[in-house]
Amino acid sequence: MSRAALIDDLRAKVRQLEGRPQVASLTVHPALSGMLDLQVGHAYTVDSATLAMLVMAGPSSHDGAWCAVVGADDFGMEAAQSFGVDLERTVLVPDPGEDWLAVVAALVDVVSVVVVAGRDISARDAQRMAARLYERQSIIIAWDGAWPRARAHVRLTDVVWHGVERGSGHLQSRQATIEVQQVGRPAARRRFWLPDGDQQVRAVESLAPRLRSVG
Amino acid sequence: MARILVLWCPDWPVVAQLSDLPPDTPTAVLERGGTVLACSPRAREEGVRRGMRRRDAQARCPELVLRDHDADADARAFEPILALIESLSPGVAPLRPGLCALGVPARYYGGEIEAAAVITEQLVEHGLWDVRCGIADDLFTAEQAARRAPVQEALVVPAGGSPDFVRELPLDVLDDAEMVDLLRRLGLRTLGDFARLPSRDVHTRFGPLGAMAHRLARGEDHRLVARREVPPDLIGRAVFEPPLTSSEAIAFSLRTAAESFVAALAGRGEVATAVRIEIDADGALAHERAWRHPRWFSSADLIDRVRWQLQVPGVIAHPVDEVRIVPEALATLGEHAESLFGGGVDEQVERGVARVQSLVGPEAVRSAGVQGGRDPRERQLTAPWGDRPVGVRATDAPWPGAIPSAPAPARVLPEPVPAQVVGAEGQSVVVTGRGGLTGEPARFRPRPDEAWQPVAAWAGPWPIDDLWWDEHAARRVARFQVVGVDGSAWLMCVENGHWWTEARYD
Repeated sequence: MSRAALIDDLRAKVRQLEGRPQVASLTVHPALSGMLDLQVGHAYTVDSATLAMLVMAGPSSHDGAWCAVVGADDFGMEAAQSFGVDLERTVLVPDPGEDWLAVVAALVDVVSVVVVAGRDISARDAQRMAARLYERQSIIIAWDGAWPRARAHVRLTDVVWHGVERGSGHLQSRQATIEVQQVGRPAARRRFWLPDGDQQVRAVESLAPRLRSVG
Repeated sequence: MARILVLWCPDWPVVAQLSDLPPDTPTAVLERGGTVLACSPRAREEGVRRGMRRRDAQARCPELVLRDHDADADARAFEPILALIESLSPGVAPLRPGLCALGVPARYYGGEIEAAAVITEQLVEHGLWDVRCGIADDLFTAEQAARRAPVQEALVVPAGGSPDFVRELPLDVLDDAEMVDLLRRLGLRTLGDFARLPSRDVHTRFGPLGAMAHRLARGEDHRLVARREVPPDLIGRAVFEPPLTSSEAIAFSLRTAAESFVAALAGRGEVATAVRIEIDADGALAHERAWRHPRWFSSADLIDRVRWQLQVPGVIAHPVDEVRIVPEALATLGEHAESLFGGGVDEQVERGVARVQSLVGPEAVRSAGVQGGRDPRERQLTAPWGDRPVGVRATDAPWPGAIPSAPAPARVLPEPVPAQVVGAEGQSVVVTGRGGLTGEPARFRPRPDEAWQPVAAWAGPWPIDDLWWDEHAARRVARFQVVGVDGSAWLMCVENGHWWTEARYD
């Protein structure tokens, strides 16, 4: 361990002993940096499985965070792995049953990112969960469900698939716009390859010529 | 120098599995591939040989009794033999079922041959007829001697005589078909020929395995006989007097037993990574189950597992009078030492997940992974948390007929749902016997609860003839990728004229 890393580590331990939050935010996927920051103690909503995986992938691959997926029996593990989610540190609860809130609460205690699929939560429960999230330094990703007072809403729009024609080819790449709507900020939109032909996620370079002043 | 006695029971799979038949019956045990693994002497007289196909063996000897090989049964049947030998002389090392080694208790029995005779006699009394012993300075030579000894007798290689004994043996005894074949082609016939090669050259050409075989051929086997430790009684027991009917009461009373079970293992520097929990009710075994732990079992983990087992319907129909915790796999504590600042993050996660398991049931919490397969559903790999997934298919093997896997679908339905695809005039589109389509897909509905929408693009079919050799399990499926005008992309398949949605590129 380098000297700087050691000092950081010790500082984190001191903060932990003082009972102060250790990390303010989790790492986001490089493609999303600048659009979204994952502050701990908050919930984020997404409207597609790909976005849930993309948001999970940042903490999972960069912070070594544990993730849990609750309520999704159709979670595509190969896709998640391709976005950078570490499956070794992923816990699945496909069918949490009636008492799914208790399951989510128990998971929030120990894992950093909890994906909750297809469940709506009441405002009161969301408030309680927020306190727990802050205390435990975790985030919730609500996928296909309402989550009052979520910090940001991430949406996928204008999806265009490439590679298939009428009867030939196969799906190769897709372009889509990711829209991040965060409370108190104008909506951020950016066009992405999700993924491109090499199965990488990257922003689409704008083809419009740059304007420059000409006398 | 310690001398070694190797005891060999030939055709052990036959002895172990067919002991219920009259001794003169021609019998054979088949390997999984359908070839003969071992056969009885009577069958051998009829011409049955190891490696022969089932049909050939039956042709030679029509009254042959055949059984499938069961490695566990072999080991189980050998256990009482080991215990019997142990009662005569401690420190038996099982090499494999039917073969074991021990130090020769020559001084106690008044000579090597006498010791071998006493052991053989005991085994014959036990009902084992074909027992052979070999005694030599080293393990390899002793095993070879045992294989050449007559029935119920011992072949003794005198001290220092190992090189002379092994010199005349054919190369096949080395048990490495590839190397033996190569040596043969080099013109070598016996171990003596091989032993004459300079050891440095052998090491350069054949690597460490070759060097090992060369040492064996020189009669210098320095491998030590790993003694079987008489397993101490590590089983954790809790006896309830009077018998209990409530799982809470059982879990509470179990605490001391679970703690002393973990402490007893820790005292030996070990932890349990797999256990079997047996619950007795009304004096009979009511339920048993094996559990694995991703790390190792603490006493709280063990109590959790017992509690989960008690929740299985019907287990506590009768009062429970005993719970036993049997260790199945142990690891040394050193491998699992906790970090300096107390338990690491992962341990916390295990505890938290165990709490979730007690909320929703042990099977409902699952681990995630990827395996090989043709379609996305086959490629999902999941197992109950803590269990190791079994029967995992390699991802890098070729999967003929697999759909192009990149990009992978983000949602893979656990069961296909019925879908509908129609042509421009509303006629249903199906796949013909030759793998073509009866029309161009124009509109589709991926699930019964979704709206119809026009097809923007589609690709396929990718036909799969699954299990075509099996009349009942055979499936003819053709897969398609379908993109709707709203940008949603789906993986669908057609089977017997019906469309199904399998996955969504969400």
